[in-house]
Amino acid sequence: MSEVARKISPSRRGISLAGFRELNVLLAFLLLCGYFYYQHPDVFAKPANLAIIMRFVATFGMLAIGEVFIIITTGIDLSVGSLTALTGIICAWVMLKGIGMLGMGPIPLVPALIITLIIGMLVGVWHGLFVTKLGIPAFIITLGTWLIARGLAAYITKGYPVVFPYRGGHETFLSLGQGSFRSIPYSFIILIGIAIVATIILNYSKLGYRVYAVGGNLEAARLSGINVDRVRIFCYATSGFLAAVTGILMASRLGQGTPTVGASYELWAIAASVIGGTSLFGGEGTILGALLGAGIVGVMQNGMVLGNTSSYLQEVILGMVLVIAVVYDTLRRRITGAQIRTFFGSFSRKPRDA
Amino acid sequence: MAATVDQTPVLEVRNISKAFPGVQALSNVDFKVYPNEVVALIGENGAGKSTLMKILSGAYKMDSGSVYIAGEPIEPQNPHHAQSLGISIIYQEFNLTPNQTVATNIFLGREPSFDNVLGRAALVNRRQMRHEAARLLERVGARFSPDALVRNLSVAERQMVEIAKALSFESRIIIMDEPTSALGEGEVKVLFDIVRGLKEQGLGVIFITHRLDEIFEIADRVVVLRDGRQVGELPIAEATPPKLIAMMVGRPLVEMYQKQDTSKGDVVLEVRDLSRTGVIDDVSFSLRKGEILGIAGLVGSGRTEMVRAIFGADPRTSGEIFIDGQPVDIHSPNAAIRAGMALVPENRQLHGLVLEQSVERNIVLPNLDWLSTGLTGLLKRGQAREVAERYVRQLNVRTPSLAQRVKLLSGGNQQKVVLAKWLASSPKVLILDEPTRGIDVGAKAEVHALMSQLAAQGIGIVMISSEMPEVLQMSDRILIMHEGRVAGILDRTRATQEVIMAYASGETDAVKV
Amino acid sequence: MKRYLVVLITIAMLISMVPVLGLAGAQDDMTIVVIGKSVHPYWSNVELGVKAAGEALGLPEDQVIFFVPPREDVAAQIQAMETYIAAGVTGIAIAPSDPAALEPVMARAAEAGIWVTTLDTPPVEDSVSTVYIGTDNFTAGTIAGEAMLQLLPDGGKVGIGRGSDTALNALQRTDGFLAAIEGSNIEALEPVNDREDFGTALQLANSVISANPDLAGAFGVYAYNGPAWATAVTEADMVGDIKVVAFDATTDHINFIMSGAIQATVAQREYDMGYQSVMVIAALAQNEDTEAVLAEFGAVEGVIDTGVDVLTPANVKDYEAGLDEKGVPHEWTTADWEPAEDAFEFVMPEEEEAAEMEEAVATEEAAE
Repeated sequence: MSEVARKISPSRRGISLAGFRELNVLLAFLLLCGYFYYQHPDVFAKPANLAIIMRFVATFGMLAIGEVFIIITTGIDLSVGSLTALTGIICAWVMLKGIGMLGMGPIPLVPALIITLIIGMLVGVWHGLFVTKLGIPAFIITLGTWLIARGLAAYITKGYPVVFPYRGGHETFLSLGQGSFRSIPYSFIILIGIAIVATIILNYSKLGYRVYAVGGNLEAARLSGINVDRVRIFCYATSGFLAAVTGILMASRLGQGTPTVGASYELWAIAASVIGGTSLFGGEGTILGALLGAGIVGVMQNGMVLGNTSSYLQEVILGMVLVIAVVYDTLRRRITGAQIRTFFGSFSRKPRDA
Repeated sequence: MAATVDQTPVLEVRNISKAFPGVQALSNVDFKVYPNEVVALIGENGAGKSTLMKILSGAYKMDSGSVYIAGEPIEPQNPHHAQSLGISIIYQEFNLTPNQTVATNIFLGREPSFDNVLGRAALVNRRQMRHEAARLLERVGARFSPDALVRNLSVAERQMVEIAKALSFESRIIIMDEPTSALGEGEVKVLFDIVRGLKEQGLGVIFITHRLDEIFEIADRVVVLRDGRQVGELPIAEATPPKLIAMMVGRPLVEMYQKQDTSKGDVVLEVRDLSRTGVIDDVSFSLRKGEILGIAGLVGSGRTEMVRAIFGADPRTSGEIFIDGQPVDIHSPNAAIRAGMALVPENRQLHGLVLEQSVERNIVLPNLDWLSTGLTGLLKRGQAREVAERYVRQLNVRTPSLAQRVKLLSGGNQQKVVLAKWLASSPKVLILDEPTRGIDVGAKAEVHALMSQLAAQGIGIVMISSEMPEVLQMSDRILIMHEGRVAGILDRTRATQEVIMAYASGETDAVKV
Repeated sequence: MKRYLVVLITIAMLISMVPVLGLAGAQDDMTIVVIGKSVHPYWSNVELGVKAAGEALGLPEDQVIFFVPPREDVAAQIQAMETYIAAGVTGIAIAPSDPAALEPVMARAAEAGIWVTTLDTPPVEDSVSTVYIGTDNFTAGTIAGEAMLQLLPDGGKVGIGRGSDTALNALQRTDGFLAAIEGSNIEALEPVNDREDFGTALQLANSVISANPDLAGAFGVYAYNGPAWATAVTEADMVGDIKVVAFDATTDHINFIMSGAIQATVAQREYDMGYQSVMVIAALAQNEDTEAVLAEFGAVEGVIDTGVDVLTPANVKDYEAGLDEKGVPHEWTTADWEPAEDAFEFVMPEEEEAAEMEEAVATEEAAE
């Protein structure tokens, strides 16, 4: 038996496969970069242009990290786009107008950021409670928040952006999203910091082990003594928190909290994580992959503008990339190693008797 | 009522054999079912009843032998084909769509319809469908409307729908797989009336059951299977419970590993009055250190449900659990693990392992708390690897590396990984649910040796097994369950296959014989 | 049971949208409804105009109703129209999100004896709408194009950012802009579509500036597109080198005009559209002679042109004074700011010229 097992599964296949997956994404990313560099050598690699791509990755990569946590546990979070808009508005609002309900005037930077982040996290916890305690599908409850947050964003502002005044003394806040260190945007640096923390959590902490186990087999995880509800709530809270981070950075970048951001960001974030190898079947996915996925989308969008591609076509092309990524993911799961061998074996060996 | 020999049997099975890797599931089984006859098919768990049924339904292909319907040889290709040949099977799990009406369910996929100009079925003829459904329901004596939604029906009523559906195929023979297991007493009576009605309409019925008393009430003949062989066939008039039990279990014990005697310590686990409404009722027992308590009983007797309730995997309605004499509040598997319990579940692939993950990650899973640093929650990777390695070596798990995904291991090695992850948690009480099911002989012996060794180390072991020899040779004491209750607890010295079988089938009187 | 509850609640909500039922009749208790397109500062300004007109007429608050769906939603507009028709209001002024789709229900309103006018977006030809009040997007687009012509007398590359490739207002403004610059040395790049997202708009603006080091100008079609261009221009450190022409006048537009990143922005007089819509309906309801009323409001061929403001550094202070006069609130102030000596000043082309331009386009289109 063991001999057979050994033959079926050459050693270290698990490792090499896992490594190989990200390698695929990395190769696709480098290939795209190479292509656009070849097309626009004088523009593409300019620090200013790279900064543009980094800012894009900072937005969608942040949300994609949250999606990775949730999709690993076989959930989905459709609310992050709307939540980005809402938290951006909340942040700008409390800093410029205060909290009317509590009769508080404008609030300084740090407390305002903390309030915003906590609100984002609480929305995530809210999702988690519905998903775990009531068994409501994640798709539905986050779709609800998608509507609620977007509606609240419009209701609070009546459509007016909450604009930081011209020379209004909010330079520290505005520099978060607008400033950069040697042409690397702060927002990108923040993303990398968060990505490192997230990677450590996922790969090196017991929490991360639990996240993957819950996604791989919920019942086995529960019977192994894992509080599966708490793990899933943590994932939703993470996604909500990161949506708030994105909302803050976006408000800072635009110099205003506005309801006209965040439209379909959740779809781009999901797309980025899926392109990066996160499996919608759960149990698989990495932060690095999601960042590379966001990078691929970002480079493509930038590259198509560089090429003055018709905007009608851009969406078609991006959609096709997503479809290819998902089909690849599905095929990869359906075709196991054994099947691949059978397939290739059928050319070299005679078919056995039935 | 008994069939006459000159009649053509409605179903005849001749010399059917079927082997699976490592198991001869059926060998040379043959029997006949005549019209107007109910044949009871009985046997222990794993005697070959399900395999036979799956062959008749076309789900499996037989290796050799032949099947005849009304004298015509047939070879069912798939369940649909079998149905069109006149064989209908009513499974324990119904195949009904709950949100549709009874009539729709009966005619699912072959709705009476109006033809379009090309002669193809176009629109469903709802009136005709309802009319015919009503007629079929009348034949089974149902009192609900064909327009009722299935989800609003009781289990017994759903069963009637299934039977009506079988009749709609013009079935000659209806096979019922433990049809009474989910029914109350009154409902059983109704079902028997239906079965008698079917019999009078000229059908043959095969009635598979664990409840011996039912056989005497409904069957005309009994066919007994054991280890894939047909060991007996007798008219009901000649059958008695002790006789049937003897036929079901009467095999010589094969030589296999036997638990070493160990000195029993204090009581480590005590369960008092454990109940879960409708599933288990008032279960009490105790377990000593170094003891193996075997849990026997038929499939569906509540064994798995009982250990799941003890482990906190399912809620319990009442009952207390003591570990080392201390009451423990077990409301989740996590609490059970903290109290020192471990559960190796029946279905290791669904409940025991994260198949897509590595051997190491699976072993580490229930031990994350003590394998990580308290403050940051970061895993002590070196130690985790060491632990995984130690248990892989100790249990002789054959894997190319710790990084191997467990999905790619054989059944026996997968089971060893499950054992490894629990042994690493140093449990006081180890609960094993069918620990050797579906694994090969070599691995089985290893698991048995390991159990004996663990008992010697003072671990208390609860072992559910459907294999009589395993129960008899590995257990110090044997708890037998019947319909959610403890039917009896026997000392190893007093236990025989016959006695266990008698308790398990609720024929306690037979024990005295 | 639950289903009935939902239906009941829905009905209750619909009813609550109509504060008072059965209001039609005598002149003092006429009810005038204005239906906008979406929740947006633009429509909030229309609402201000509507309320101001109501006050000027001395109508109680619940008889001057302003309704907008949360986002552009033709079905919601139709539903609202039907509700108000059933309520028998005096008149409805609507900004149809889809003129063709709204026309049948507008016709039903007219049959029911309700005055129907349109604002912001012109109705279909031969519409039942008595009068259209506003400046249409095409004309406004040509004025933006004219501003760009004056900013770039020597021509150059111009980027265009917009929030939709299919919405009528985006297409009409773009077409107007392109019509105005046609024949000049200005070369328009392919418009970039941000799917109505400010963040994406900024991202795309960045990319366009990066892709075209020789970019001379940028045109922002939707309200946030101008600020998006201005932010990108500021980030690229090219304030003044890339001329930005925008649409609408929100706080950030004014901020960027003051910082020099936006050279001109075309502001539709949405407040006036709301104000006039109410005033016209009130007058129509009180006078027999429709033509006379329309003439009095300066309608030409069924159109009351509210015109546009082109805000530039040179006139933004005057604009603020004008707003203060009307009592339109604004969060910005130009108090501590003075325009530069050589600040850009827009010269409105003669009206005949604009008409000529439109005609030229029309004949050209006809020729095709």
